[in-house]
Amino acid sequence: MARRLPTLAALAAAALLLAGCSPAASDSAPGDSGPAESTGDWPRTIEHAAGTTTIEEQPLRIVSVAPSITGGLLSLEAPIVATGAAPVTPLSDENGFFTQWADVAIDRGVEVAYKDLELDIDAVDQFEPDLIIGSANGGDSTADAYDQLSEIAPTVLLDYGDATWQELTEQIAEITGLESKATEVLAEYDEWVVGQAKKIKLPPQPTTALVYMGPEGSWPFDPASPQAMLLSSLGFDYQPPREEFLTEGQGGRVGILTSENAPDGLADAETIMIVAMLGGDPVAEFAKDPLLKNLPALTSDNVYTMGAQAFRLDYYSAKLTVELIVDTFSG
Amino acid sequence: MPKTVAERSAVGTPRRSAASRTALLLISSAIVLATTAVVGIGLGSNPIPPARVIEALVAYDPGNNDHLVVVLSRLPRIALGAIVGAALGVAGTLMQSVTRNPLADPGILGVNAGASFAVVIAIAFLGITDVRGYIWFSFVGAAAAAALVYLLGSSRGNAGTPVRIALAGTAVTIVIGALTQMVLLSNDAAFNSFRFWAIGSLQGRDFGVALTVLPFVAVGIALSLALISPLNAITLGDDVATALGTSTLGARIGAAVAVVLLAGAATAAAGPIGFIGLGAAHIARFFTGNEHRRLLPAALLLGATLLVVADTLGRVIVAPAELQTGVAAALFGGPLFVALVRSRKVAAL
Repeated sequence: MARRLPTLAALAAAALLLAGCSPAASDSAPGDSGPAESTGDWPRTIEHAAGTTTIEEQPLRIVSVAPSITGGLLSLEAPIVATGAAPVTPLSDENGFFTQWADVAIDRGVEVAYKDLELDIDAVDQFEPDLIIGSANGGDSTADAYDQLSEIAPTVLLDYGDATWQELTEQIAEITGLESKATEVLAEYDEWVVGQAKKIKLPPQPTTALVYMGPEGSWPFDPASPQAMLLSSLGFDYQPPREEFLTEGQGGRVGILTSENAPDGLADAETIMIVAMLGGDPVAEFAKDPLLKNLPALTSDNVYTMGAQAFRLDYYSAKLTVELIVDTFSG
Repeated sequence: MPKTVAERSAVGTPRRSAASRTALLLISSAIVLATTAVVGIGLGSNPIPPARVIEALVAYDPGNNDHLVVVLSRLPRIALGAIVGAALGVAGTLMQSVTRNPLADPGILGVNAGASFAVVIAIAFLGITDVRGYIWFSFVGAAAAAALVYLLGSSRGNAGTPVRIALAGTAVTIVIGALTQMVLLSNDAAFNSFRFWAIGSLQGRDFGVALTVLPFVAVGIALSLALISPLNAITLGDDVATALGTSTLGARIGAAVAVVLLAGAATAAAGPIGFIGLGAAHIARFFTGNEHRRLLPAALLLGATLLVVADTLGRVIVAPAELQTGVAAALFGGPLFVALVRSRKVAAL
């Protein structure tokens, strides 16, 4: 049994990452400081998931020890010099950079601090950061190493499991002094989504989004999940699975339908959107499942992929996901 | 026809008692298996009313979701559980008898780990994701691990004592487990395909999987039954067995082939499942003694029963979620193992 524990732990970590991906809310709520302060007022004291950190001057050399947050830093054009990298998966490139921002990171010369989420304190130190940003939860959490990281540079750990990607962007802006850039980025996104929504001819509604796990059943997203909110922002009528068939997942924003429960749990969905967390062709895999063949969404041929990048939403992946959906349903 | 060694050696022992206890075990085990199978068809993470379950069996309508669950998920799951459990029960018994080691079981002696590693290689580097494809890898891995454990456990002279073999098995299991994790961590796509299989599961396996492994299990069982006389002789010790004209080497090779077929097929079909081989063999031995004519059929039936019961409990007790089969087997097998360790019967081999 002991040798199976790493497998279970990895599964739990994957689920936490899934639960913790940053959501897409349309109602952005600026913090107390407000965008007008821009780059002024240093030093500033930040309260965060691991404590309180004072940052003396606006950071110029940031190291991200959470690839889930790196996309947010890049979207604000923060001065990020290196990032911890994720394992190479269908969600990431050969560096372990998430595909949605890998090109931007390479263009800006962001280096790999360490691979496979295996935190290397010495490697972080060698980049001589003046700010370290990490996460306090999810598969890339560095909460255990907070004290060691704090000896290298001021360190801030964010709880991305409980924030929309817009909220996370605002937190990063406050830490890095890039509030005005954040306001600009979020406004641009909101305006852009409204325009994209007009291009779509919606499939039959309501819609449920999920990750298909084969024999493990389906992991449907909660209406408060970033994936569901993204669909809602495009005009989809989001429908959670029938409550009585649903099991709580590890996080609050994704549940579990066992293989036996999926046929009944998903019976209300006229359209099903599948996040391709495992890569490959999730729609084909879903359609091959003999237990699901009576689902209304399958019999009417209304099962679609949201792509692999929708697994972890940030500014870049939200845009890619919206583009994919528009591409699928326009005209 | 001359009497077997064991039959002759059994003169003076309460044979009738052992025979009646065996009959009692076989009958009660068959009743439990049949009852659990019926209950298992009716119960699961999805609460389907009994009338609908019967309707699914007698008037199957593929347009009905409940019928799909009963016929395409629960029935093949129980069939596969019985096949895999039987294979593990016999494999565990053979390994214990041949090594005269009460701790022997395909999980403990590294055979499942070897089969798993070979399957990971097949998934990670050759892109094979189907049971029919990787069953051959499973056999090779199982055989290689078994051979390695035997060589390590008896490297100096021929002292393959139970403790040395068990230590070698544990060491090989740990090393192979680490290698398996290494391959998986560096290859996430393989990890995802492998993950569910590795925990040990009967879910998502159709009748095709059961039919794929059934011939291998059948040959393995037939071979085991053919080895009854030499196995009985080995139980008396190698010197006595040799003096009585038994080829201990031949019996061990035959048993090894049977174990590889049984454990390899079981592992390919359902992933590495622990405790069933160990538990079935010990409970069977408790009732039947070391006479393999009784022991092997009892272990076969008990293995099937234990796995089907564990899997059914795992589906029912946490509904609407499910415990994966391997987890359920370990969860229910753990206390059994503790009870066995505390029992003086363990040392009776």
